[in-house]
Amino acid sequence: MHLDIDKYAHIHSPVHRWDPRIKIASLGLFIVTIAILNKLPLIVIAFSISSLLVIVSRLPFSFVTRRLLPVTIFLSPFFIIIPLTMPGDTATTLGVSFNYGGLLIAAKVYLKALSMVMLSIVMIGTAPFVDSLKAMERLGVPSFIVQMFLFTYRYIFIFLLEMKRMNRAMKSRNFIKKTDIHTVRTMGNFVGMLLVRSFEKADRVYESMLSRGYDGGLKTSFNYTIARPDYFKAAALSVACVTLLIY
Amino acid sequence: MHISEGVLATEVWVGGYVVAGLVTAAIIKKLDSEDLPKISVITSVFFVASLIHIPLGPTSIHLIVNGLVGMVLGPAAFLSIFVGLTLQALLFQHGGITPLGANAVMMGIPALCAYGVFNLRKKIPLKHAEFIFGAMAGLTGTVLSGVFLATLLALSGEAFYGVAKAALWAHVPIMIIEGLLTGFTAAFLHKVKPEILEKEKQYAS
Repeated sequence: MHLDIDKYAHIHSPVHRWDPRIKIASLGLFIVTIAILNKLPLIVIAFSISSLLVIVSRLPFSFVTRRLLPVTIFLSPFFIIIPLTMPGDTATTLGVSFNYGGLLIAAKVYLKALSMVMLSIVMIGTAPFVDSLKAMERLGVPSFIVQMFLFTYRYIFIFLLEMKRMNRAMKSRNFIKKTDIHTVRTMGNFVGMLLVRSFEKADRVYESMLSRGYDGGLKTSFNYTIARPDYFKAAALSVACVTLLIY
Repeated sequence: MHISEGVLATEVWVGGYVVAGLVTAAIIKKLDSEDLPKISVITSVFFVASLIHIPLGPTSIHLIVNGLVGMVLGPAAFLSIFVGLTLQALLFQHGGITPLGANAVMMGIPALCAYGVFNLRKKIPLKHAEFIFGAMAGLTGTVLSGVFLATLLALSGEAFYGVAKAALWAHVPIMIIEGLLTGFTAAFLHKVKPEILEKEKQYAS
């Protein structure tokens, strides 16, 4: 679990210099385009463009590949299950029917998913996360939801520390997780305790916000201006999207 | 539990966004700014709790917590889950951007059902009601999510029937553990801070 998506938000690259509003909108459009693609050659082209964007963004290779792990774990069973279970043109070897067309489907799905995840890493990883959220608000995401993102994001770190502390306390009492009812009960109480603490914290947070003049709105600075290169980059990517969709 | 990028057919993920958007809009209307920090703080607890691992033989499973979210937050649970899933997708690439709506439906609607199940305890007086109905809420959340997961995959094409079936079976041990755990959490909350389980007091609006 790596929460440091904006660890490399402060390096310099053409993607980093892109206005977050236009960047999120353009890359979002590209992600949607890939989701619609179905032909292998087009998917390979989309994958190449996505990889190119990762290179241009100068995000470290290991940073990106580590983040491609969840999608790889989720999709690897597809390579076995789909060929074994898909009806149609199957080849039988040693009594097991295997559909090679299913292998192609799994490959297409995986390649599409890799491209889309790489794009989302470029989209979110090249600006401070809070700036990306503010850009989303400017793009029309309701303020209520953006504020929820901001608060939740903030408190995730606090509760991660809280959880670490509680874990250490349990370990010091010789608690070892096993596959038994005692473990489930203890972890159930653990989650309950986290909730109790969070409710108490939530009330205090709200009171302190009120005392600083919170009225339900978001008042933050957003220091970005859209310049001509921003539009050029967006135009180039849009042309790519339209071309891919036409073919 | 989530569906990754690239799997769902276009109609399915677009449909997911439409349903998730409608439910979210209906829920936001009922909330006011006082609820916002509270729901958010609790959402971050669920986010963190979903990282907890329970050993299962040689492997381990991680908690899904959607039944628990429904039990504690009521209708606002859908919003909480939507926000949690978005952050998971953006911060560590679990799930994805296009399947986000579908994932929110898959996890959020069962959470609302879990809330309904947990509220039955007021109508059916039982000994250890909190544990029993908490466990049922936890089961409801995970079992329904599993059914949604299989349905969404199957809707995306004949090729995914096998994967849908395998995904459903793979979740059976998780459903049992999650159900029991939610029951224990409910019993704990009932003992330690019962007002958390009484929704009416929190959302006066």
